[in-house]
Amino acid sequence: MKYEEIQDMLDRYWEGETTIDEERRIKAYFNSGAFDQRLQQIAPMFQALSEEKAVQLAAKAKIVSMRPQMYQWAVAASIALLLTAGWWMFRDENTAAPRVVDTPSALQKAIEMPVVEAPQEALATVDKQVPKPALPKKKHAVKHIKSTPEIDPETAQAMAEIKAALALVSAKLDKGRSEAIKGASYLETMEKIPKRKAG
Amino acid sequence: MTRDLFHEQVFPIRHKLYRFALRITGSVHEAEDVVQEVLEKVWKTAPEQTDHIQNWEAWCMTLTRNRSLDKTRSQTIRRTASLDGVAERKSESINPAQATERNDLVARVKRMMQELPEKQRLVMHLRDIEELSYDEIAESLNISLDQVKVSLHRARKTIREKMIND
Repeated sequence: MKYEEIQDMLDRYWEGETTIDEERRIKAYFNSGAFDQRLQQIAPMFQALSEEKAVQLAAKAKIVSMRPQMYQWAVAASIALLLTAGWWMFRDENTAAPRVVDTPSALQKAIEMPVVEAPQEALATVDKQVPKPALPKKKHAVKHIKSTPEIDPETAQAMAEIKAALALVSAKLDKGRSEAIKGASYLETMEKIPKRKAG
Repeated sequence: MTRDLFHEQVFPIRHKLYRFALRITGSVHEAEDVVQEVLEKVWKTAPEQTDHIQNWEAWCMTLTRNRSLDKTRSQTIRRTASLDGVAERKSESINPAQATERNDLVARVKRMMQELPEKQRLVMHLRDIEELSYDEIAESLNISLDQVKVSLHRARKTIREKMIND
């Protein structure tokens, strides 16, 4: 690069009028080692800038452990897997049920029914001497749900299946827990062994 | 933040973030910590919160600046003349005497830069070392375009005058 050319660029550089590309050329010029001696005084500035750009984060510096994120994903995946497994089991057992669409309404009734009936049944058994006033009430209750009175057995079946599914989950959890306890006690005994040997 | 996005947009600029943090904190260890924290924060940011971000570099630079300033202010860092890591660095020159003289001069320029007022120092760093556009600098530092131009002009002028007069 000619002296006049670089001098012109420098004049504009001090005024903040150079483009990034021109600034790169200026830095390259002063770092080439073959710059005009008349510009010797300001050369260190552009050498300093280039040196600073070469500074890098030390390789040994640890950068973002992915572990916490991976752990969260693992937990999410396990839960998803559990839910899917549960759904499959429930679905397999439920093949007798004709339509899956019916299940939510059946479930709804399963929730409604005990709430409506249980207190009245209890009343009926306690007030055995006065069964008649209790009966009309019961009829009222039945009227409310009259639209699908024959669902009862289905509801019972649904309840039973939910119970079975929950029992299965709880059994698995129990098994897991007992395995964990076994493991923990095993670790404890393992810890004790060297101590005894040492002592 | 997705893994792909992180590896394409954020991870490659870690050295840039480090230099910027080093410029502000003046400490290698502090700067390393800042980069670690910023990368971790970006990685953990939910995708919905990053939808509006167009310029990842400017966003990361802003995070780095804020984190670095927090550190600097909270610890009232001892900014000594010889900034550990900033001033001392090797360069390839021919003759040892010349090399020493050149290194002295270069180290002096680095010190001058570090002694500039904060805004000028950061603007000059982002332009003359990281080669960001004026718009990107304004976005990164959350200042106006005019402030970027004025700060850069003053910073360059100060260093030039010191070099010529010394």
